[in-house]
Amino acid sequence: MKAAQNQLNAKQSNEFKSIMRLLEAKDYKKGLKNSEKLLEQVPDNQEVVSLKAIFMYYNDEHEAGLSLAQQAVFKNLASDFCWHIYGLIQKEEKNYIQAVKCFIQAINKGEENLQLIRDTANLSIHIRDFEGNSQLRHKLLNSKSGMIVNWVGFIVSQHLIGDYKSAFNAIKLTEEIIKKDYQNPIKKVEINEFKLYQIQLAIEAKELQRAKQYINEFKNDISDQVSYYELQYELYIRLGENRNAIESVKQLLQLQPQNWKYYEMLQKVDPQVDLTIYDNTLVQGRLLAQQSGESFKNSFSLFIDPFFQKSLPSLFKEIKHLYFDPYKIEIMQKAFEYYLNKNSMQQLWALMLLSQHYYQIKDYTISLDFINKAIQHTTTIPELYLIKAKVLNKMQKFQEAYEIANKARLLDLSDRYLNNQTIKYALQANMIYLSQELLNLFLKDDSNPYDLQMIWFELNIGKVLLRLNYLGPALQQFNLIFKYFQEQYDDQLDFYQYSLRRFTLRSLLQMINAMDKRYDSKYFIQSAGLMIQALERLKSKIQEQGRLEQKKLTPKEKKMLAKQQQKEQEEKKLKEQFSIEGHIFSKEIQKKYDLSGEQLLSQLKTSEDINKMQNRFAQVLIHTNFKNKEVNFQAFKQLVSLYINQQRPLLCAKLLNKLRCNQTEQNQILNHKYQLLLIQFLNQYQGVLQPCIKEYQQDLIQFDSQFWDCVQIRSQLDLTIKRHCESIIKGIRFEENLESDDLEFLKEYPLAKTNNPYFVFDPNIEWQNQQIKEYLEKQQTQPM
Amino acid sequence: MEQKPKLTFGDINFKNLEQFKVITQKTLPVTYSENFYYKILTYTDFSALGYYNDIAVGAITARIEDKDGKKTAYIMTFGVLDAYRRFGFGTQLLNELINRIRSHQEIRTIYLHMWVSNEIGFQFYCKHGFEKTTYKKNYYTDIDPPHCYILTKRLYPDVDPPIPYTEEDAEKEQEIAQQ
Repeated sequence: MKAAQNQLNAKQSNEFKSIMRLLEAKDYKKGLKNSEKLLEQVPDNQEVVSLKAIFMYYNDEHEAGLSLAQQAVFKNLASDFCWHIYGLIQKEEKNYIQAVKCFIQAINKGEENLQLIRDTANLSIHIRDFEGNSQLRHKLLNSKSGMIVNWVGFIVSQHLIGDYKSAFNAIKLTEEIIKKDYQNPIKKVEINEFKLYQIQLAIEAKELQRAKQYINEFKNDISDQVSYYELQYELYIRLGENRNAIESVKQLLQLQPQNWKYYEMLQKVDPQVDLTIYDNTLVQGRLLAQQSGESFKNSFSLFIDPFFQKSLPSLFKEIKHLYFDPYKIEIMQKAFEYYLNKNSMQQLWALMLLSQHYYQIKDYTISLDFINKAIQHTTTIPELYLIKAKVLNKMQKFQEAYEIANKARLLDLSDRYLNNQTIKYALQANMIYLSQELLNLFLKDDSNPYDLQMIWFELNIGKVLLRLNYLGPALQQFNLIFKYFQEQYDDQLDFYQYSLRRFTLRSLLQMINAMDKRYDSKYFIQSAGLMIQALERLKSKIQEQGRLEQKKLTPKEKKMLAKQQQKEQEEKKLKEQFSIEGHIFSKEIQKKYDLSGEQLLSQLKTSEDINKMQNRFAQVLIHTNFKNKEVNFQAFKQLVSLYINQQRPLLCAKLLNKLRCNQTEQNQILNHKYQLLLIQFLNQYQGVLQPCIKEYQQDLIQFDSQFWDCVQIRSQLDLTIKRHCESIIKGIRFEENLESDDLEFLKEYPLAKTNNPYFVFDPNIEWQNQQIKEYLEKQQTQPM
Repeated sequence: MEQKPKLTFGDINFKNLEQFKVITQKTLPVTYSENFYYKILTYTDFSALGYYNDIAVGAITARIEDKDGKKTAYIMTFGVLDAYRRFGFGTQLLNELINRIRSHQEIRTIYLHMWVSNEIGFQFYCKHGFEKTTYKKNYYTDIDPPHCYILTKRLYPDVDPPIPYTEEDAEKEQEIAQQ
């Protein structure tokens, strides 16, 4: 970083330089003091003001530092130094777009600072400004064309803006420099990566002849055989040379005979291929799906018999994919039953497989029966207990499921998987404290799930807290997950330059691609949906509070308020008692991650605040898509009332499409209800955007009746939803007497049993206490 | 089952104590306290879990005692899960124990308590060279009849003299002890 330092005399200039050294040495306290001293002498020197600003920023005066740096820039627009400092603070604030703008100003106004140009180029990839990146890389290359890394950066930048011709030219020159540079020979792995990248680039640029030439030329330079043949396969497919593609995939099969993907690739290019010649479990298991009748029956028996002879309990996962066909299901059941009369070990596996079999066809009672028999037969196998826990969980017996999973855990205390499964069931049974204790068993000292960003754990803790209506802590869990996703994106910053240096360009592209799609993940979609739901509840709580405060209270209402306050007191006591907010972690960690959610709640005081927060999540959520439609639907349905309340017709139309795309047999009835709500809103909408949503407006009554004509009503819940739909059409309030014990129903209406937003009660609390007691007793008796 | 199934042996330790516990609960009529199980961890030298196909199917535990100035091994628990009986697993477990004890020359005998009505057990122990050496009345408190035999095996019967047969009454011993 160089300063103009025009207005400074020699002594001041030296002082300025020494302060700069303090900045590099990260001695922010002294730096602030010295820069203030210098500023007394030259109060109008904006570059010194900038220095002070950045020291203020690093001394935890974020806002003051930021605005001071901004002022300095405006007072001295010509100073590259001021722009540079301002950019640094913006970068620290994670305003990367602003930071890039500032740095470019600094670059254009100042001397050549290669370090700055390089950082800015990396930042511009980070904000996906590929055009800007390519200009900066060009600049770098011009000033130092002897450095290979500058060439590589330039190649990638041209690639990213789609200028393949320049990229290939640059590659040619780069290869020549590499050859000439004897002093820094490039490593073998690096050559391997660079060559693979070139092939990939040629394919992507649709220069297939060039790619073919590369494939032949580079063969000996490439050590990553799998990538090589995968690229070769893709190339031949594009060239339409199926016969060659077959050879590529056969090479892949030799390298990885257990990878089903390659067999599929083989079938794609050679539909007539006879896979039966591949005599391994994977292929034989998969091929069963294509057989039927007597031949399936024989093949299946032949397939499973070795498992029984060798006593391999992992059979089920090999045949799980056959459960789509009712005929096969029956055959398989008979085949398993055959072994019930065989020797002791075979009996055991037959019992276990039959339990898994009935689980798969959703007959949980019989499944439970078989697994109980299996456990009775051999009491020492953890896997059997896990199957039982899984069945109980499906039967909504969460407490029992935990108890059984815990038995599995106890059988082998050194098994991390068993421990994690137990935690999963503990959380299903609302046990936060115990799950934290269990998790701690496998964490290294001083570690915690928040430092480690264990999203699965945070998500499930959040679900429990939401079930128990502890809104603050629940919101914070989901909020943290959102933060993790943002941090994950920023972690890329360490890798751009690294990848260029190491020639791992294919990984770089892969990372950019994966990060751009990071929100299309199950965990994000789930937590965003839950976040919006939790915020909705918080909103109704705040509104309820407002209503009570505004009104003059009648004696009856006073009584209610007193009752409420009592409830809150109880809640507080409960929190302390059961450490709902996670006091197993130290005070510092609780504060650092705001586990009580107090800080978060302080930003959510009014309905407007909450709306803003909801929109932050909704904005991201509405553009996501995950392969599991059920997961998508559960999250998207939370957006329905949000968008309707905010009167957002275009988003409602988009959401309607999303709901339709994620309709499944399982969710169709509920899905219909939400679609109905959206269409009703769109029909009633009269604003300026009306022409845009016209195609979504339709006859509500017809839409509804057509749906019910072709759908089967199976449960009480279905009926309730149907009645709800009727009331929507008639425009009357839906006042259902919520006495159903149907758990599905309670899941759909978490507050079904009460309209009181303060409702907090966990019916399991006594049982939980017992479990915690037992756990602690066991821990104490541990001989260490 | 053409080949004779073979057991492998493993230690009982804190991490798999529960395995031992469920085996004991399933195979023995006596209910032990939690404390007993933790104590087992201090006698690991002469205790083993038997694994068949990586599944724990049986366990044997023993400790060394001083009896009239001589060292003897006492079998505390010994059992194989029902479904795995008649495969010779019991014999393999017992032989494992005997082998371990034989490496300590000073230990001359192995003994154990056996419930009087355990006919099958008696046949098993007979086959392995155990003899009835004591008839002990009122040994158990929670099963009926409450009496037991003490069975003893001389590890070196060619060298050591036979043990005379005696009768005892646990209740009376206790009374005496209390007085």
